[in-house]
This record gives sequence, structure tokens and C-alpha cells, in this order.
Amino acid sequence: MQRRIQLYAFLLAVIVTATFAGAQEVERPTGGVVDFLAPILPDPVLQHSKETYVLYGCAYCHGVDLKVRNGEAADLMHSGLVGADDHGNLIGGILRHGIPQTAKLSPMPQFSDLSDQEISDIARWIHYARQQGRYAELMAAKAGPTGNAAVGKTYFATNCSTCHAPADLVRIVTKYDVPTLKAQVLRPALLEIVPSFKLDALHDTKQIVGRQRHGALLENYTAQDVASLMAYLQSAK
Amino acid sequence: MMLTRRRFGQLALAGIPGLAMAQTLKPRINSTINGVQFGLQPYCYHDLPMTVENRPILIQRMVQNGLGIVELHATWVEPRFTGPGVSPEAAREKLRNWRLTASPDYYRKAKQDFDDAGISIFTYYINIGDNNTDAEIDAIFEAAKALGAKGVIGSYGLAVAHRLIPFPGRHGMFAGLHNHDNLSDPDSFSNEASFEKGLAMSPNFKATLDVRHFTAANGDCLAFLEKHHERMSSVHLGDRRKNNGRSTPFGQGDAPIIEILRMIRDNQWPIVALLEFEHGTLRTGVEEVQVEFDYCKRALA
Repeated sequence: MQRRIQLYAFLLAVIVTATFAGAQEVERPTGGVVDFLAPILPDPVLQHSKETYVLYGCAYCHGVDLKVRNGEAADLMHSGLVGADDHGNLIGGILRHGIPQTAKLSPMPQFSDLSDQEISDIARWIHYARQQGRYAELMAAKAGPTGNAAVGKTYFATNCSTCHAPADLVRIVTKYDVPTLKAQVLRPALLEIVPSFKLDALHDTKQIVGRQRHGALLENYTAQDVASLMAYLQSAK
Repeated sequence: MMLTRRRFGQLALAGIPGLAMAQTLKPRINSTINGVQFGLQPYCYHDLPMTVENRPILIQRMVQNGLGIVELHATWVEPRFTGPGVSPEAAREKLRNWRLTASPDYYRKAKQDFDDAGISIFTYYINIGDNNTDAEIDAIFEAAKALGAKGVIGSYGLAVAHRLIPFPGRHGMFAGLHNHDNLSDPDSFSNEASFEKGLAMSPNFKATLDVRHFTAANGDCLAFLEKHHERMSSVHLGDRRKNNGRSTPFGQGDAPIIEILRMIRDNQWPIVALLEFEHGTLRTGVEEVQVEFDYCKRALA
């Protein structure tokens, strides 16, 4: 049963990765038509969040996949504010007030009439798209920086050890080859499962916190962080 | 007036070339609704990147939407020099050199694409800035002329406008002043006072009032039309909310779209209404343009 769940999670991850890669493929800068809504995501909450993001015009400037379309727009993929945002607590303020004072041609408009739910949806999409984009960037960094196991150990102690015991690591490290391990570190299968609304799942704080924590880490990892973390994990062998 | 047989013959002969020309001209798309000329700023097709490669799709879409006038952004015409391994500076230099050496026939070919579909290029939209040489600005106006445009327009401020003073006159065109809603930049066109400063610089400057941005900057569009209609070439027609508010579908914001259109109609002003909007939609670009164009048609019914 456990193996079957893992298999489903793996397949789902492959599908989500492939379909998102397809979406990026569509949005070419030189030719063709952009379908802002494709692909339809398996998680209806995420799909609705994407539609809300598109419906209020965010995609026209910031890009549906956070690849800036209008040269003036903020790069949400690499913005420190987005990286520090927790469920829209920072993004919501920007949306509600806009950025009227600017040296740019057009200020960021204010969206003060949006409901809390709509603000939350937009923030959800931004975080999801950022996680997809950061994952792709970090995985693509083949000739990345050299990792420092000691630095990685400190990183682990600071960011991972509240949930993961060092003993877990040996099991994980011996289970995967290096590329798979890196993929698992960046985006555990947990992040790819469509959340259930069954009451026991709704209140499964371990999974909820794990999902949030890994999502936040993924949005903020530097290539150096990942290299050092990988060096540390491999040293655990 | 009585015509002699000789005079009749002269007139008939004079008319033959015109007749022949009329036969070779393709029919134009008539997008004039009760006296108001409608056109499109194709930025509205947000799902269609503004590139040379996509120009055939743009033309096809405008035919679908029944819009016969376009404000053509330079990116629909000019080749791109950006790409992997090319620095922005190098790409910019290549573009400058290309502009300085491009043949008028290159632009005429682009114009022909639109002519063949019955679409007229009203204005050529290109952002001119400090990094444009005088020779390059002349080349831009020549390009616009070869495209059949009446004017060149862009999102520049007062300082650049001042620099542009000699250019439109020597090319027999106008330069369009276009506003955004940036009230914090004293150089930008954003309110009536900034337009008045710009329009006073040259009789060859005309206002392209962006209704969305003017509304978002808490400007009074109707008062602007009443006072400055003789110096206006067009309006960019869209809706937004006041106080730097968001863009909305037509009729859901604070821009007085219906009143603007009726004012143009009832006063028979030759001000072109260019659809240009930025609100999001779950529809396709063609569907959304049609929805907003139909809103305008109902306003003028």
C-alpha cells in the first residue's frame, strides 16, 4: 500500500512537472498564442487560484509563470518580498494599496476592492508558480557551486531539524541517486499530492506544516544552499 | 452647371486612372460606428505576443473583430536582435543600425499585409528615449510614413517631447503625446497640466488621451475632451478605477466611456477611438475585444 501511494505520488509529480513544462513551452516570446489557463491543473483550488490571477490581469505584466512579460513589472520569481510572504500577509498589502510612488512609467495599480479570498487566491498562485519556477532553475543548474558539508550541516540544523532527525537522513540518502535526491530535497512528493478535504487530512498538521515549510524553503533556496545541503546529506552516507 | 462635350471628355479621361486605382484597392474594413472611427491598439490581444512572427495572426484577428484601423507597435514590424549571448547594449546597437539602413520597401511590405486585409495603419507606436540618435528618430518617422501612418506615438515624457519638436513637421506627420497615471514623476504625461505643457511645444503635437490612465490619475476625461478636442488625434479607450485603481471590463470602472463616445459622435470630432485595455479575462483575446467593441457599439446605438 505504501509503495502504491509512493508510485502514485511519483506519477503525479511527473505529470505535474511535464504539464507545467508544457505551459512554459507555450509562452514563447516571439511567436504563437499564449494560453494563460493551460494546462488545467489536477488541484482545482490551484486552478481557481491561477484563474483569479489571470482574471485580475496579473499575468499580463508579471507572467502567469512569473516570467516578466512587461519590462516594468516586478520579478515575482526572485522577489525577496514574495519569498518572505506567508499566505499573502505581504502580497496582500501590496495588492490592496498598489505602489503609487514609482520612477517607472506606470505605477502598480491598487486592487483594494478584491475580497480576502481573491487576495488569498492570487497569493496562492504566486507561491505555487514560484515553487515550480525555482525548482526548474535549481534543477537546471548543472555546473552549480561547490557544496560545503559543514555549511550544509548548519543549514540543516537551522531549517530542517525540527522535523527531520539525522537518522532519517541516512535512510533517505541511501535510497536515492544524487539527481533524485536533489529533486526530493527540493520538492518532496508531499508537495505534489492534491490536498484532501477529508477531516483527518484537514487537521493533519504534520502534512500541512511540512507542505508549507518545504514550499517556503523551495522559494528561497539559493544554488549555494542546495549544493551545501547536498554535500552534507551525501556525507551522511 | 452645363458641361461641354470637350470638358466632359477631359473629366472622363482624368477619372480613368482613379477608377483603375479604385479597382486595385482592396475594400477597407469599415469600423466607423455612427460617425465614430474605431481602431485597435493590439496590446489588447494579451495572449498574442507583439512580434513580427505573429503579425499574420494579428491581421486575421482584426478582420475577425471587424476593426479597420490599427495603432501599430514597432515590435510588430522590426526584427529582434535580443537573444542568448547577446548583451542588451549589443542588441540595441544592432537595432539602431537596422533602423538606419532599413529599406522603405521593408515597411511598405508590412503595410501591404494590412492593406490586403482592409486595415489602415493610423499611428506607429514606438518608445523614443534618450538613447535614440537624431538620425534614428528621423528613420522612425520615415518608417511610419512608409507604413502609411499619420503619426508617431510613444510613452515618453516632457523632456523627450521637447526633443521631438522639429521631427514631426519635417516629415509631414504628428507626434502623439500619451499619458500614464504616474503622478509622482514630474516629467510624465499624467494630467491636464502636463498635456498642456506638451501641446504648447509644437502645433504638430497631438494628444492621445489614454482614458484608463487619466481616470486612474483622477482626471476628468470629459472636461479634457471639451477643452482640448482640437488637439486630440485619438483616445485609448479602456476602463479603470480612480485613485490608481485596477483596470476593469468596460462599464465596471470609473471611465466615462459611453459619454466620451457620444461626445465624439455628437460633435463629429475626427478623434479615433482605439480600443486599448488591460483588464484580465478568462476569454480569448478575440472574444474579449469583441465584448468591449460591442459595448461601444451599444453606446452609440
